[in-house]
Amino acid sequence: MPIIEIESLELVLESPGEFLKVLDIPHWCVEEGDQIALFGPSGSGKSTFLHALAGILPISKGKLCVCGHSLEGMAEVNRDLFRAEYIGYIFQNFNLLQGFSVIENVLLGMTFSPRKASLKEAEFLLHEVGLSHRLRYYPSQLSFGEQQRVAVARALANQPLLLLADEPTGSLDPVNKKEVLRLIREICHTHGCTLVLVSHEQDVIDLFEKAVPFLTLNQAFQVQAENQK
Amino acid sequence: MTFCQIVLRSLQQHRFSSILAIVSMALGVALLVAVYSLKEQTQKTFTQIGLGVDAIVGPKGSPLQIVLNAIYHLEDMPGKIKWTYFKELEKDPLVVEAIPFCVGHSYRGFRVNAIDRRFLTEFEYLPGKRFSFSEPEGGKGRPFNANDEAVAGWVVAKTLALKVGDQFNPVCGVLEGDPVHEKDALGIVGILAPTGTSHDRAIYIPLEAFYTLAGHPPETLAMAEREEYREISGAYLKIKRIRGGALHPGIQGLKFAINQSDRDQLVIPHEVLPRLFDIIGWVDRVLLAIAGFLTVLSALFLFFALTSALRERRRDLALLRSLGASRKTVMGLMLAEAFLISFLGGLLGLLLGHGLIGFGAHLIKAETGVAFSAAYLSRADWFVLPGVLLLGLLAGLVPGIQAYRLGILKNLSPIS
Repeated sequence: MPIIEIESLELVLESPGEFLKVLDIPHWCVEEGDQIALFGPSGSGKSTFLHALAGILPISKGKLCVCGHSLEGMAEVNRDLFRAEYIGYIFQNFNLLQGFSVIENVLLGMTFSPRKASLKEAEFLLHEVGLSHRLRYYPSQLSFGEQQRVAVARALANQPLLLLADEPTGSLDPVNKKEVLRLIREICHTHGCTLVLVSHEQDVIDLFEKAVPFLTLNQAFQVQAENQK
Repeated sequence: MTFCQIVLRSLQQHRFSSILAIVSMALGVALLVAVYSLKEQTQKTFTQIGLGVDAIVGPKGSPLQIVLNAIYHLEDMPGKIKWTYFKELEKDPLVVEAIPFCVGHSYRGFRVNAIDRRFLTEFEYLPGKRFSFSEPEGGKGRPFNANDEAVAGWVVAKTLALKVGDQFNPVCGVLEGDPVHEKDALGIVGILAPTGTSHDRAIYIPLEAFYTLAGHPPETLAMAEREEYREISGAYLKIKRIRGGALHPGIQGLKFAINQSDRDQLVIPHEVLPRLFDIIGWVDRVLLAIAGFLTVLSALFLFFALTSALRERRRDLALLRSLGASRKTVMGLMLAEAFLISFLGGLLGLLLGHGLIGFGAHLIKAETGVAFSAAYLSRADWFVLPGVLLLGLLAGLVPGIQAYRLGILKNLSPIS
């Protein structure tokens, strides 16, 4: 069963004085359990694409079906619910709420989902990412690598069907980068969660069997590039 | 995590500004509660005491001055009335009880009033309450029986450390420097149990003793011997009541008749006291205005605290949104914080306000003899908390709307 189905997807954003088509994807499909890396230059719309997949940004045209839910025309409040139930999201930076402890950050990942938040589950996830000894710590007391591992645990807290990772290793040193990537892939595999990861780092992309150059997907960027020539 | 846990965590994260907002709100509320309570209790107390005396017959002059002097032991009596006139009035079918008194003496700052003995034994200073000398109630001794005996009110005895058996020489007058009755030593034979009224703030001597004090001129002594010469300062009157406890409507006719004379007048404290509150009412109004201003100011402070907290928390709220929190939820978080801060501020203010009254009650009682209760619930106690909560919600509304409008992407990691 495809987790992501796209047909003639367009996303137009309003920038001062003009409307800019940032996404134009004729067709794309991702099967359940796939682990895909999207790569491409900065500004090619990779993050915007993830935001559209997560239901943060509404699409302008076409068909976007994620986890069996058509997002086109879906009201914002329903997209919020959809995100809370089916999507896990890892950002490059600024992932954690600083005023909340490690365990609370993970619990927050369950809070808005229809599933009941479970302390035991949160503890188990933190155990899986190797942070069971840091439950009551605050983000500022952790290293970048540890913070990103908490973010991984939080992204999986709502038992998502789809995990979106936007440059998850962008701020990490090589050792932590490798470790966090391994963790994300392993946990996704264990939990049966589909992974779409965005990166521009070659060493990260090389680890994936399925790596898609985003430029081949997004025709909007190709048009922009041609216009700029 | 529950919604409440997130709210509490956020407050904890901004604990300094949250505590400041709570404290500033509490101060405004405390002042409001204290002023309101004192105002209401003062009015109630004064009215109650005034009701103990249905009417006062006294000389011509300011009715308010007569009430203040006769009941609250303040000011001076503007003159005297004839004893014979009083005796005649006493027979009026509307007059149930009449207690004559003479004022004009003092002892170390407290008034010494000469009064009919029935005042101590039969007079009800509040409905159903008579003066007591019972030791368990705080009194001691007995009523006076002779002209050289006196009874001290509870506050006087406590303040001047007077005991049964002590002697004192009254001052002829109420001002500092007035002559002392050196040859007239009066013995304390009783101390009244506390009544929580102004009656606790005077010393009582027999009415006849007033005329026989050695220091007085012969004309005054003659008043003791011949009733037709005798004068008194006034008399407390209990008036016949009709069904339901209201004063007999005939009192207005009696008042009109008495007030026709050149020398005497009938004063009804119940009618006069509101004038006193009109006079001193501006103090309440100013204090209430200050308290109201403080409360509104604290709401403004809360508004700025929340707005500044929102600025710091844009990323946090955007992250919550990315985790699936709806716009209504993040707006609700801001409103709930405002609500909680206002609730805690209001609650603390209520406790503080009552604490202030409790603390001040001792001082006020020592100074005036009037008892205030910290447990008294004034109108402010009912409206202040809902009012403060409403203010708090209003203060949280703008930050709440800002949180509602917050864009997720603008406040998260940069778009590649």
